[in-house]
Amino acid sequence: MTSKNLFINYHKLERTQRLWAFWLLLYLAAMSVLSFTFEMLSLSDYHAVTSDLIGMPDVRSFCFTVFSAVFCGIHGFLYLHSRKKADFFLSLPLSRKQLFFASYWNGILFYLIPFAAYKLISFVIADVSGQILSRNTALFHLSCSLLLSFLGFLLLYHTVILGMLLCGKLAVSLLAILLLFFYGTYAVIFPVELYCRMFFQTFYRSELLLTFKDNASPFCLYQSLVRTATDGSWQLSSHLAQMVLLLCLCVCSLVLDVYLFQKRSAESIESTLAFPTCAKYIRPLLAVPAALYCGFFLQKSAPDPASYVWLFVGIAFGAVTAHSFFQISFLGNVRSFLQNKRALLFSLSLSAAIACIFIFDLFSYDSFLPSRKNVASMAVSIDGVDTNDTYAAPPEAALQEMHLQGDSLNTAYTWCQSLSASERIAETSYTSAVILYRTTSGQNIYRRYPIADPDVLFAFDPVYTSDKYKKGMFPLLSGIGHTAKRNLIWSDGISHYVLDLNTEEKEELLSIYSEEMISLSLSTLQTEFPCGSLTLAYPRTDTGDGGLIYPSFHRTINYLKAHQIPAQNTIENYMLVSAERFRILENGYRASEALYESEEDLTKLASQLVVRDFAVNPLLYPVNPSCEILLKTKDPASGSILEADCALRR
Amino acid sequence: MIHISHLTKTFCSASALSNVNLEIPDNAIFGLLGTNGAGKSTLLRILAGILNADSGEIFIDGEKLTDTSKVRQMIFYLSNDQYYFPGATPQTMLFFYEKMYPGFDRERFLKLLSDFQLDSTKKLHTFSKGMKKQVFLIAGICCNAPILLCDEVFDGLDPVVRQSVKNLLQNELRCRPFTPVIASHNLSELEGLCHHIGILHRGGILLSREITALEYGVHKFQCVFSSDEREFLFHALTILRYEQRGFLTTMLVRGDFSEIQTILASRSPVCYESLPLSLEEIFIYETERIGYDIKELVY
Repeated sequence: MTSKNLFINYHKLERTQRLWAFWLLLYLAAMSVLSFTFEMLSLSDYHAVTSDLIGMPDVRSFCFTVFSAVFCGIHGFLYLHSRKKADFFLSLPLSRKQLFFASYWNGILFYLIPFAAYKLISFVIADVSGQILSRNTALFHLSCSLLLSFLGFLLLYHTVILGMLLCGKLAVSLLAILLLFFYGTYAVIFPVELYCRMFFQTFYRSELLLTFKDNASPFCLYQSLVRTATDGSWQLSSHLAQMVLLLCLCVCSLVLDVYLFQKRSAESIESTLAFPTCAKYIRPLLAVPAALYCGFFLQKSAPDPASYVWLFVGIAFGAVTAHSFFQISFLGNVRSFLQNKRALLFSLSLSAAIACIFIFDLFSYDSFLPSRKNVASMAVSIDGVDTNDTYAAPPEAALQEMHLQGDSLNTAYTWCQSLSASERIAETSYTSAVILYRTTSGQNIYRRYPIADPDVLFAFDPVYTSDKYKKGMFPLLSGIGHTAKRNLIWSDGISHYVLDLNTEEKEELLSIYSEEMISLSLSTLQTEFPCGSLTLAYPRTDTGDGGLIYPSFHRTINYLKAHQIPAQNTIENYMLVSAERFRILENGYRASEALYESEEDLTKLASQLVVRDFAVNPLLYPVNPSCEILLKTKDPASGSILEADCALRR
Repeated sequence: MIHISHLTKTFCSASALSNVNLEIPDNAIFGLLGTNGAGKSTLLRILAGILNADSGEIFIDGEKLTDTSKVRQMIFYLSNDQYYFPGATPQTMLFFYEKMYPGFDRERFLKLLSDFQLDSTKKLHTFSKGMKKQVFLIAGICCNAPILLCDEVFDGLDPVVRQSVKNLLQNELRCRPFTPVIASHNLSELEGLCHHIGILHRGGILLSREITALEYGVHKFQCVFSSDEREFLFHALTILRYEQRGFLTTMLVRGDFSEIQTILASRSPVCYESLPLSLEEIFIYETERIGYDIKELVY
């Protein structure tokens, strides 16, 4: 009989012996189909069915894939951890490669058949029930999901096999698998990010770190690809780099697995490491991250953050603990915990050196500023200014939407230069500004500069009053030209009116508002609270892009008044019913302190109140943060009671 | 023929096999003797392809034994504690071996199981240790592989079954090209079975010899003399070993049998007789000759 025939025979025999694993996965797939059916029956949104349930974001697919990879990998190669079993299988008249691939292919089949069945049956159920709007779209999402899940399975499967090959005991292999799944992200990138946040004053975020975080370990790479697929918008072209990386890792890990399987000696069974020469590399790979984590947590809880004693104590503790743990499990002897002192010293030194890089900023992170000619555009977000997400873009969104160019870029750059050049601030700063530099090479560089002095903040006013800044910060300003099918809603925090305007009138109002908003300066924010808001609502909803109206927006207010909108109303103009004062507790809950019902008390209180949603500049015009007022007013027309959460001016 | 050349194997810093050179002839039962830790199992596992030697080569019928060489199909390995599938019966293992060894004789397997009163449908985990060994030995014989590697195969077998197994191996040898290699630490287990013996000691081959060659020209006599004939006997005969208890003299003598008889008769002993040589006695002589106490080597 030829070697190939023997391989085929063994492949079939191996599958027969492991058939119970296949039935288990098939059972799990059947449960997934059931769960899918129940979920689908409760839906009425076609879009949700095609993308979320059949496509990539399907949580069941993700969990099934991860579980199958771990299960098939461990189950298929468990015999390598038993001398009896290994002697039996390795003595068969098959080459090592044939032995490997017999278990390998069966593992893939055990996953692929149930998973494909689950996906196809889900599709058929959704289609038969009439829940799929476009069959082609659904099939496309299904195919993408199958492709990505299969590649994700392969990567995780190969990683599990690697863990089984590297160690001689199952318990140690399980630990190795866990480490291999997450090492790059949680042992390398995460500590770097923690140390950046702790020691670099200007650290906000790093796109490089974020990219590595998502791609540095097998599990995180697969998870990030699945996570980014939402609302059916997953495009292969926009994730091509990650997919190529995934494919390359799959191939490389397979080659490594085959090589190690052939080289793995049978005598390593029941020892901690199957390749003992790896010990000298694994020791520091475990000890250094452990040291850095311990150092970080001890330093974070240290009584004196300026002193680094606790940092180095933590580093020493972490390194010694990880080293000892490795020694004991590797040599199987508790007394060997401090052997290999040279390796321990190396780990300690390396950890301390890494810590010093951050402590002394050896690569000048904090003082780095890209040169002006390399900066294509910038974005700025200042903490404590325009903070309400309903009426302004959240900081992340503002940074993405804002493109300061031309004069505003020059001014912003000069301003940032002065911030970057200032001395490191030891005490709490006045505020901080997050800056995004977009370079000509396509790189995004983020920095957070502390602002020590209000004068420095006000030096930003020329940029604050530029149209590029305001349009990036307030999405409402970009609504000009898109008002045709959308309503404009005015509110003063208590009453709401949908403006009865035609398209030209809406455009005119927004233009006026835009001009006044652009010229709104930082100094105005120190003296005025908003008196109203405008929202350009999405079709058939009352939410959308909002913007605040300040008392100095005379033209806007007059335009609204001309259209019978009481734009200059204040709280005092309302028929006040009661005001209940709450104290904000440390745990975030609130406790009632007083109830005001008399006209005198209410009148007196009303002048100090501002609608909580309008207290958007806690830096420049703060309110009392420790109390809230629940205000009740009566609508004279309908007689209904209107409630509003208010804050007390300081 | 199995030709082993300069085979070395080290585990961590301990040497399991050290420059082993050995030839295992075809169609003969080869006994591999040695104490625990001598390297017997290591040698068999290297031959079976389970372990890789650190250095050295193995040739089987002129072809080098590697991971991918076809000669691996000629070998069946039987370990001291053989693995079987969970819930397996002898039938299950039959199906398996049938597929892996193309020459597997199904009918003979079932017949031999019956001869040894082993139920082919009963689960293996209900069998005793000795019964399991019998099942796998029968499987090893029925797979018709030219080379059968057995590690402590007689361990756990009662004397009756042990003899049956010996008969089985000898019968098999008569029927087809067959080279069983049996590793054991017990000389008496291999008594009357092996044609060729090799002794491993501390990772090295101490000696490797045909039994007939060992037995040739050495005879054991037991005599009773009325007077002390010691001086005469040592002068007239080539005595390898001499033991006297009272008037009873036991000696190992090298030389022609009839000549020895004539010389003994000339001293008018009260009585004398020739006794069969045991394997142990042969080895006592051989190993003492090269400076080892047999009791340190095997027991």
